[in-house]
Amino acid sequence: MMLWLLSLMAFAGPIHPVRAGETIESIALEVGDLELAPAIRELNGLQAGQQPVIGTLLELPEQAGVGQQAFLLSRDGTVRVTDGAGGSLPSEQYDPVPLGGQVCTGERSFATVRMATQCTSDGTQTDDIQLQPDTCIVVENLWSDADSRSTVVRVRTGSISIAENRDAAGSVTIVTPSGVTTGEDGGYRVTVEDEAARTEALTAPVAVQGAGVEVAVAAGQGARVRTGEAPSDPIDLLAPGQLIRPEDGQALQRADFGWTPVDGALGYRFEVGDGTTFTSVVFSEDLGTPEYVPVIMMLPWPSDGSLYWRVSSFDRFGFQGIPSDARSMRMPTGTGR
Amino acid sequence: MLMLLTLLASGADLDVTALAILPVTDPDVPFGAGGSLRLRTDWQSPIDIGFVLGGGATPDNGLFWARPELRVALDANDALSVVAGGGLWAEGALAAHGTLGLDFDVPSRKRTGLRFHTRYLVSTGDPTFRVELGAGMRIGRPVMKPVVAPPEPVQTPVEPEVLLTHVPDFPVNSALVWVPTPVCTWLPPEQANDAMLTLPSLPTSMAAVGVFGPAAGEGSGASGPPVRVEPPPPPTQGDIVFALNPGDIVEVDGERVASTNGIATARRDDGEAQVRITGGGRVIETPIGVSAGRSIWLSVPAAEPLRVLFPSGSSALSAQAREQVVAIAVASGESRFSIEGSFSAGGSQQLNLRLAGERAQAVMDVLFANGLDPSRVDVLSPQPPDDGLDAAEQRAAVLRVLGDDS
Repeated sequence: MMLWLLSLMAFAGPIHPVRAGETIESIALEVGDLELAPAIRELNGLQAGQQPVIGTLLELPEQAGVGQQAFLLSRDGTVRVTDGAGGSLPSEQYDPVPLGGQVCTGERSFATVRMATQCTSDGTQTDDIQLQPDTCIVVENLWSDADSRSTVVRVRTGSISIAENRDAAGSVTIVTPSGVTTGEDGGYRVTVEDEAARTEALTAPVAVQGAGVEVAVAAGQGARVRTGEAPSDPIDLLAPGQLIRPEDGQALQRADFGWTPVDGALGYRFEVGDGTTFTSVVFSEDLGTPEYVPVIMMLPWPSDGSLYWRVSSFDRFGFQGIPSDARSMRMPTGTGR
Repeated sequence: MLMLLTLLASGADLDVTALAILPVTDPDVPFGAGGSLRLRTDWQSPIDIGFVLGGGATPDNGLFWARPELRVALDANDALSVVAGGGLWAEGALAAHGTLGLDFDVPSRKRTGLRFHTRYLVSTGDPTFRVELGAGMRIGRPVMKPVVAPPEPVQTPVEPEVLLTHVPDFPVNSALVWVPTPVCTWLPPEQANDAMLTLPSLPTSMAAVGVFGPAAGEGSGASGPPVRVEPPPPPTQGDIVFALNPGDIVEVDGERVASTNGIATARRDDGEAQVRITGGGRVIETPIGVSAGRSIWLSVPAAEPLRVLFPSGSSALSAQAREQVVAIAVASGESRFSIEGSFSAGGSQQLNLRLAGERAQAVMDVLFANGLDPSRVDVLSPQPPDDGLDAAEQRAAVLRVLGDDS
């Protein structure tokens, strides 16, 4: 066993997004050694005494850590994985995504990528990122050691959501063409818009950075950062409506979903997931009225006999609100696995 | 003491017995029954508890008399021991008694042997109640059947099959495998094999794992080399769930699919399935793409009301109208209908109402002649014509599909 511990690859250190109030020195101390400050500067092209701008992604010097492996935790529809050079890679469930590799979802397709993994006293902890359709992400950096883990992902197009993971060890940083969003406990979404990026913090606070300014976004709030500008002031997200029909746990015999309308909602997003945490989304439809009664609806067979559905609302600023609790729906008798 | 040890070493079986006998008959006829407890050096079963029947005639000479005895005992190993014997009883100063008897165990073990006993009568002050303490020795090595030890677990080579209760459907193509605490790192599968053997307990589920160890019970250590997991074959079929209207009949690839409470489900191979829905006088024919491992929910649109048109002032069906009604009958499924004759405005109300009735009847005649059971049609009274329709459309008989009676 010791052999394997010795064979831990000494990985290039984590990428650290510079937060408000941090200096190279404070970051070096956090890493463990003030003496590292010059090395950090050199690694990032900073002059002696120069402090980085908020939102800079600092490369930290090599430290002992655990070589990381991102992989497709689940996928549905068209999903393409490419390496840093653009070469095509296998994209089935559990296929790996190398550092620098890209994952793209096609139309009506979803994928969930498992990121930095770490052993803690509570078991193995991981950070999962779920991709909406028409989304492309690049896995920039994954790192973990005994105490902490970090994930840095660049979103080029589309929308992602970071699974909630409240432990003291993980951080996920999302880089968009417009700004940087970073959170310690997951539970937020980032969407790339036209010359802007939109962040919605659902269950835990996040920090949104742009143009050297950092804005704290509390759980239940959203902020938008336009390219070259500081992030907007956070606004409250719309609370979800009450789910009306079908009842929780019913067998889904008719595609007929309804919920209470929400004040201020311009539209709703109806989602179906395979699992209560919606780490794996299998269907999503944007609607103008608080009901979804399609003539045809196709869903994959659930892995455990039930699918789950929930609804969130869109407000007039274009923020997607807090999702409702999920209701389960069973497959009708004689269908499914 | 040395002799005792020698005796023990030679395989003799020594014992100490306590007997209590109560006379069951006249105290002068000293036959009695009682219980006994015997502790013995036979470590197969150091204790037995038994029942004694014994007796003996009071000696005339007061000194010696014969005394038969039967003792039946059961030991902890459920071996029955029967001692039949007897001996000489000498009352007097010693009140001692010696027994020579045969001791054999039934049925499981073949043990017979001579047992020599001496006992001492403990006075209880009650002449009718005897308590005897004795010591004895079996002569002759008991012949014992060898104890059959439970068989050793057979070490067979581990077959390449997964012994886990929950086989995850992981494909065997991962570049690296996550090996959890305490190794806590990503390793190529070949190295992960060995690393997993060092784990205190095998993970019951791990994503991106191409190899797995056999689980010798929850939380137990690994035993045997890890084995590769083959994923279960992917599904090749998908389902269609039809939400039907009352009376709709659905056929998939020409085969009728039964429905319960308006829901019909069909499973078909991946690919195209031909769906035909009849009912309410209309036919829907469409291919549906079935996807393996998926279900399609199809809400069948309700049949529109069917309007059979008539010329002005007439309740005679044109050839075209007649064909239309025949088609409705054929496509009626199991629907129930209401029929309502109608008329355009103008002219005598009484005549119009009668005309409306005749129009409805004309349609019904053709429907019933073409297989529709009359019980499936409810006749409604004619209503004033719908202002939203033009006159030609108002001269009609309208068929509407009825919903469930519930």
